[in-house]
Amino acid sequence: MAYVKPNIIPSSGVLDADDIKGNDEALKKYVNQNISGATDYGTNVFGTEEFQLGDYQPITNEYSFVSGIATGGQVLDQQIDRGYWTNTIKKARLNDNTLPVWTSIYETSPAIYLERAADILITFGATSSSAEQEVATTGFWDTTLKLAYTKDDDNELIFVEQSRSYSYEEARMTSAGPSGNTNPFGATGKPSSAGDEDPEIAKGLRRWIGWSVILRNLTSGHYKFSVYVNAKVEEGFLGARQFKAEVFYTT
Amino acid sequence: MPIVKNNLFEDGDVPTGAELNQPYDDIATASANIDSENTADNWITIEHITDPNVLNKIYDFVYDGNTAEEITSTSYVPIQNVAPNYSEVSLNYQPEQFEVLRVECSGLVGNNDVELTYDSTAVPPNGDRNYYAFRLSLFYNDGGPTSQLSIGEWGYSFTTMAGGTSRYFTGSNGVPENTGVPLAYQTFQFSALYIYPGASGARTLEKIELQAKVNYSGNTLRISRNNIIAVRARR
Repeated sequence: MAYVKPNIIPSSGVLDADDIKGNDEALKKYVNQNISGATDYGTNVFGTEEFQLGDYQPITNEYSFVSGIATGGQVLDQQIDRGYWTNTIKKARLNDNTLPVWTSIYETSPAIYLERAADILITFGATSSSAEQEVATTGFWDTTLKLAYTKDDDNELIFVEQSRSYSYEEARMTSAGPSGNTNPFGATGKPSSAGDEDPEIAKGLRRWIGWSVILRNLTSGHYKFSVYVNAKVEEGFLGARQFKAEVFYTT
Repeated sequence: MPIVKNNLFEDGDVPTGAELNQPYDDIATASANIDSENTADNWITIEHITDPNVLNKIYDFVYDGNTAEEITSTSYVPIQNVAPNYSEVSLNYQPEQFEVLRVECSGLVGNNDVELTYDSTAVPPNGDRNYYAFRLSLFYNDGGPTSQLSIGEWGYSFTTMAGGTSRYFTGSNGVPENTGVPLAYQTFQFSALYIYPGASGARTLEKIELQAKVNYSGNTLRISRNNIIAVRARR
């Protein structure tokens, strides 16, 4: 509500200092804490420039928002910009499709602090490449990639199945079929006869990965997002990649 | 809210009551309608907003399972991984004039089945049968029956490029195969904007549906996980 002066200065007589002080005190209180709510503000008078910008906290590598976005990315200028992964399972069980070992990939999504419950929309894109696995030199292994996150001090990974993607081993065509759970060629089967090592096949196995995910009504707190891989090759990497996280507060 | 002025008094002046009251009365009047003239940039934090949904509102559809929807239709059909749920997001609101609706969509194709031989045609159409496409359709009504509006189409290839006579890989027996490499389990991702030009409140946006088709019915497109995210940007 608008300011109301408690005292009226009389038009004649001796000025009472308490009248002035009372009005100033009321004004101070009004300015400092009583401007609130739609009744004090006109309709359609504020633009987006009035909204607080998202803050980047370099110490904790976090973003905080009123409503906004965090973006980031790496281009493939240098090999050191790549987000590498490797299979850390011992050789005896490397070729086990039922044993997932998830590894976080460098620079693939932000950490965010939510002041309140919010929806988060994350879009992601990257080139992926998986070198040939040397333990089993035939077949095509599928490395699964998913977005996952942890909240606050709880280190349990929460996977986001909306982001399920695959990076395929660029193997030689010396043996038929997939070695992993999925076939990069689908139900069509292997595209050529045995012995074909044409680079066209490797090009077909090196694919762009892109997705958008929506996470609804996440409660307030610290979130650490990352793309995780269940690596099935000794060496793979994301090259050029970009991500964007948008926060939409709901309460 | 304008800037509130104060009276300037010199030594020896005798102010009137009206002059002393004036600044407080001006504040009382002006503070009834505070606007951006008296507010700093970046002042609005989340604490100032009673209901953030007045700014942006999210509508979504998510299917994140592994059941594939098979598409062999050469005209657009809706996607239904698990009955009775189609890949569609319900809206059911009436936008203001020039209100913007942003739509993000992504997914994963699965175990496709492709007739590779069509990539080997040396004359037009040079293998363009091996394409598939997605469409986002907006369903709406203006008080009458439901209408449908395409807000975007996006095409993908079942195979790597190998059409024509120049790009192909060779089988071990040396016979040119002229076929592309079939691409299964690749992601798709696109976005679109819809800006409503009509009068406020005259149109009801009902839903947005993800649809798909193949160029040639001999190919089978299998769609795994998919999602649609609509962001209503209120004015």
